Amino acid sequence: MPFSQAKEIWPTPERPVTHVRVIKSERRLELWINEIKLRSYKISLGPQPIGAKRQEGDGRTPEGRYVLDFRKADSVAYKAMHVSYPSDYDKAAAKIAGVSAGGSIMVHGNWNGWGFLGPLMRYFDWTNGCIGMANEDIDDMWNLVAWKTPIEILP
Amino acid sequence: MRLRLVATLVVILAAIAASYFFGFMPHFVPRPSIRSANLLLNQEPIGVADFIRVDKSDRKLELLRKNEIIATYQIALGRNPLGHKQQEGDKRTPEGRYTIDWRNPKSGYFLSLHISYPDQNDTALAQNAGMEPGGNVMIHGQPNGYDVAGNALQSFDWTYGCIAVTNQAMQQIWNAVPDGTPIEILP
Repeated sequence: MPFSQAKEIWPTPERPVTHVRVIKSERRLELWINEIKLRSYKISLGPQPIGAKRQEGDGRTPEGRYVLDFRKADSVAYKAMHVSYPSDYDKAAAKIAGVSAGGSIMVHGNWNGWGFLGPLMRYFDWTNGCIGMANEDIDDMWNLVAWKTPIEILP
Repeated sequence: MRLRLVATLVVILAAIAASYFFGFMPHFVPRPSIRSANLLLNQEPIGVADFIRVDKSDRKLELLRKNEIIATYQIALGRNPLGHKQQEGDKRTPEGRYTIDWRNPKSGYFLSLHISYPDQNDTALAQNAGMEPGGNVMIHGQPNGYDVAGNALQSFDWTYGCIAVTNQAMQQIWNAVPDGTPIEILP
């Protein structure tokens, strides 16, 4: 199905968004229903956009398979959806390295008060390792993606 | 001399017939390379490992300590060895990053270490596809009572998605790997 037609599809509880895919190198976040790509948004990453997150404060975005396990409408940024990093594996790997795995990785809108810069913020990496989106994009995604949707973050 | 030869043949045929009967080898899956299982068995004591890396396409399991490989074992996979496990009964071995979360010394196979599949992501993906994710993916030795077959089972992929090693190798891995050890399974 062409991407332009897929924009007309509305997910339902019977036919939810099956997975979210993030491609870090292309700065893209995509919503999928099985084999149909529903949306593709431009995203911003942290100060260290290359490589998987290993420890607290490294400014990296995790890579791997996680879940959007809860959402927060009143965080420091506009609408945030939490990524289930660190997993048991991440915690175990951090323990071996003797560091803290960190956490609080969100897919979120612009920092509160910075929404007016909106779409401009799409063009540079401004988060601390989270996945940043323009406010209108996170608004759209907020309405399409259900609780506990799987998210796959690729390098 | 001839009697011994005949007796050996009978025993081998009986073993194969019995394994068909118990459903252990309904068909053979071709694999990239068949190596002697003993070739990769480490004779010296190896101490404690802090990381397990499995390479499915190389049929290899490595134990690491501080980023250095301390032991390598040849493994057998499920009858459907390609791709990440997605649902119950697909006989695939999961790919990704998990931990060894518990162990069973009295399983149907010689010693088994449990891999933490399915994680939240696997469960959610299977649910959205209307399937069961399955589970009970283990690293284990040979089926109980089959140790007479020696390492013959290691020359093809015979499990239901678990990772199988020889009993000797399993004993080493069991001793070297504490619960909570991270495991990375590569395609």
